[in-house]
Amino acid sequence: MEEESKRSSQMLKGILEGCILIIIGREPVYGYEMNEKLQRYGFSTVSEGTIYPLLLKLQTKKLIMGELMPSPGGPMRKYFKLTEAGVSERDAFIEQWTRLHTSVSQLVKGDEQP
Amino acid sequence: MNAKQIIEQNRKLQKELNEENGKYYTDLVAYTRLKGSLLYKEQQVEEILLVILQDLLDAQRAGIGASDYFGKHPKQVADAMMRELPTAPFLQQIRYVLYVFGIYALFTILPGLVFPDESFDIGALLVSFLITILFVKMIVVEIRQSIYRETGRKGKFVMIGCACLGLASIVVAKILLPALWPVKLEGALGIGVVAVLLALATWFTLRKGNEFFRPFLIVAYASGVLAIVSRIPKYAAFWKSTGGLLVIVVWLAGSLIWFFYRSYRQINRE
Repeated sequence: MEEESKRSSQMLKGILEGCILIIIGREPVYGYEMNEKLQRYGFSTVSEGTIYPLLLKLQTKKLIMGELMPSPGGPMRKYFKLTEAGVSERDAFIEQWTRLHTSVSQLVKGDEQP
Repeated sequence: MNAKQIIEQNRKLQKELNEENGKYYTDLVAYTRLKGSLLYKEQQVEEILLVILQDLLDAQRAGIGASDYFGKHPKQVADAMMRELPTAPFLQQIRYVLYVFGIYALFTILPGLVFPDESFDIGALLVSFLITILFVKMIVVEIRQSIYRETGRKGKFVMIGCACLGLASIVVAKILLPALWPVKLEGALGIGVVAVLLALATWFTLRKGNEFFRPFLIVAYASGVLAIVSRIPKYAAFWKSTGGLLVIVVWLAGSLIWFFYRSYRQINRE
């Protein structure tokens, strides 16, 4: 049981990384905004600080970078932006996900592989 | 922004947290700084902490408490974050040890140099350095674990116990071990070494943030001055006479009394 939840959380983390790259690719965001956007897209289980280690991981892998910018009505804060490597990683994720999504949907519906 | 500026901004912003969120964040900061500063660059750790603080403030404004936003297991999240960071160079990792040992060394070497005829044992200093490494490591690990533990009181005892045991080990090692690497610091060489140590002690204690150690400077200077004058050949005979020894005893005792008085006032003030 524990193994299963571990596996599912590992899988979610991988997908989340991709989703974070997609969101950041649209516009630079800061941590709280990122959390809000994910929640709005229905990632209700993504709370409790999960995104922070992921943001750091993406930053260490140089897929995203932090930049200090003035926030609306507040002081300077760190916004995350995609790097060039991040753009290709995001595109690769979208491609992989689309393929996986199609396969799983077909499998669920019972269709034969074309 | 450099690490100091980030810490300053963090300090200002923290005031905006309400009591409950403030407590939550202070614990997270203490844990992350202690654990992080041993392994990672200060700048990286401080950047993360500021990002989290700004987000917690956003959450607070939206009516979400820190533990709802950041989770009921902040220690695990902090650990997960730190696992993603590249580690700092080795020298930075042992800077706490250097810090503690530096203070210990500066303020114990000088009194030991008052009598030029007695040799100074570099070996003993190295042994105490090794003991310091061991105990600083133990204390830091203990502080780190105690932050997210319910039984805070026991942790405090363990910590004070560790510090006392460390100090006792250094004293016992000094008594039991034979002189490992004795050197004589006479004449101009001795005066030079004392002057360098005094300069280091002064530089260290006058640095911002080190105000706590200023009273130690009294002992350092009192023994430093003695160590220098006792090495001037013209007066050498006097310091070996009963009168000279009496002056040394009264001078050092006076400096100790002054030191205790200043420390007492400083502690009261803080």
